[in-house]
Amino acid sequence: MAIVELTSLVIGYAKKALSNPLNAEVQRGQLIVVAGRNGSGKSTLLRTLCGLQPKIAGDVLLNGQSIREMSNRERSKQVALVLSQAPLTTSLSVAEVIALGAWPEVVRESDDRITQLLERFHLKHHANQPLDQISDGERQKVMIARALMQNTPILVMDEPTAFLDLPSSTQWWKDLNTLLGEGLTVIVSTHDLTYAQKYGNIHCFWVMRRTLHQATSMLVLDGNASEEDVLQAMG
Amino acid sequence: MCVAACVLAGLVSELFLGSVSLEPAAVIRALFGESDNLSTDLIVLQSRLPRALTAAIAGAGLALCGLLMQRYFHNPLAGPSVLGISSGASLGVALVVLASSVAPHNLTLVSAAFVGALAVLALILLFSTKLNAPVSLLIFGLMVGYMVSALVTILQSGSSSESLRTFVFWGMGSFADLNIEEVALLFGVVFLGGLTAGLYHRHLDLWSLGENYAKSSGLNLTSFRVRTLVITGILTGIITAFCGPVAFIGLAVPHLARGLWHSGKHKVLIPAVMLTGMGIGLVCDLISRLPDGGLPLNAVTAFFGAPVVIVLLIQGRRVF
Repeated sequence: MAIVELTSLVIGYAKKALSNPLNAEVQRGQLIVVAGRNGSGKSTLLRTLCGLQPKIAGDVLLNGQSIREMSNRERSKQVALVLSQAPLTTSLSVAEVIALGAWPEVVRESDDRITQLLERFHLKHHANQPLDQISDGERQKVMIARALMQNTPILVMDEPTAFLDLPSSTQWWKDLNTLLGEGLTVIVSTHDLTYAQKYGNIHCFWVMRRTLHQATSMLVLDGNASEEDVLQAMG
Repeated sequence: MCVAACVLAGLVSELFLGSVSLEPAAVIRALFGESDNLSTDLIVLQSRLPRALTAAIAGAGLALCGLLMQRYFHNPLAGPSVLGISSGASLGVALVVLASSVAPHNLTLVSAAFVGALAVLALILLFSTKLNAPVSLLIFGLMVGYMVSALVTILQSGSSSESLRTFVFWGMGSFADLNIEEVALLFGVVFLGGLTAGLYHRHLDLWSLGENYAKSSGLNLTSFRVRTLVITGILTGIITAFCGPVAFIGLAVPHLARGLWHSGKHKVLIPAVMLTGMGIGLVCDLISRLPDGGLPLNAVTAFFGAPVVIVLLIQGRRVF
């Protein structure tokens, strides 16, 4: 059984459809990269998959169950989310934010799982620093660690490497491969296709342009590409 | 520790200082029911003690409301008045004071204010299900506040000078004139509000990451929203009913407490903010009592409190 299934899913805002009916399946342990131009509906698709955005029509099934029938709590056990921008509205410490990933379970900041995540993302020296007092890239790493703390079978990420430097971005794709090996299913949107193709064990690309085109590889363009080349590459 | 000492010093000063000079020993005897002087008993037990307790309790309650509103709206400028609830209380009082030529009894005034506050709270709760984005609710609350203020202005324009004077004095805010039973009621409500907020401190922590992260982590948004609005609404309503629309404390104290405690955890922030609110409430009341005839409480809260927040900002202390 597919772990994520889109059945004639129409995404959009305020009853305005952004897509034609979308159909796709994701199997356990697969990495799906969602690509597309700005405004093509990548973020809306990911938000819809997490139940943050109401769908216009069709359905999303997580482990065979419709997200329509799931409460926030039930959905949070299936799918964890990382947004493109980490919050600046909290002065909780890095360790406290990661601990919140286990919510509603109460986890102390000294918990082994948190220590491991702090080490994995090289955040140990920031453990007690407030989230709003570290850099954008580090803040994004904290939010990824928080999502892993949620311990769900599916991880959805909207441009998670947008604020990461090149070494961190490379490391992130390599770490992602490790997570896939551990059985995690990942759906991630990115514009960083060069790194994604080079370092990620990508199962397929979903290219958003009203319809969802599926491709096993993407043409990666250099800086001299014409507008037509870009449009063709983006589906 | 420093804030707790400030609260204690404020309480002691409220009891021992006043326009009538009393021997410290006489005040202590009155507090323990061993005084043989009726006028000392009256001054200490029916004036200074209720006033001191009101200042501390109302300060704590308003500060808690400010923290909840700033957290709920992710907005450092939010305070207890943003939902329009204190405006609702003002309308209740205006209807009683300005529409009748007879000076109302204090209990009538309190009841009218509370009913007005509850009416606006009901309106907010009703529309909160339709206005999912907190910022929409913030704007809705502000608009309700403006509309209610407009009604109050209309009532003011057609009222007698005596009624207008009563209403203006009520609007200046005061921690005086509550009897000990009213103080007990105020304490009960603020205590319950603090306890309820304390019980869901982790929900507030989660909400501080933003609505999307809170929802995707499994937070029940409807329950969270209703709980936050009801606590804030009832506390603001009852405090405004008893003390008038007290400004500044709810807005500024959460910033002061964050600067003093250096924590983003609501398990720490809720008691910290309430304790700081007690201290600021007492200090403002003491200052308002200093000159003969006293100063309007709202003038004191804003005039002496705002510079404290500005100094914290200039020093680069984290205030949100």
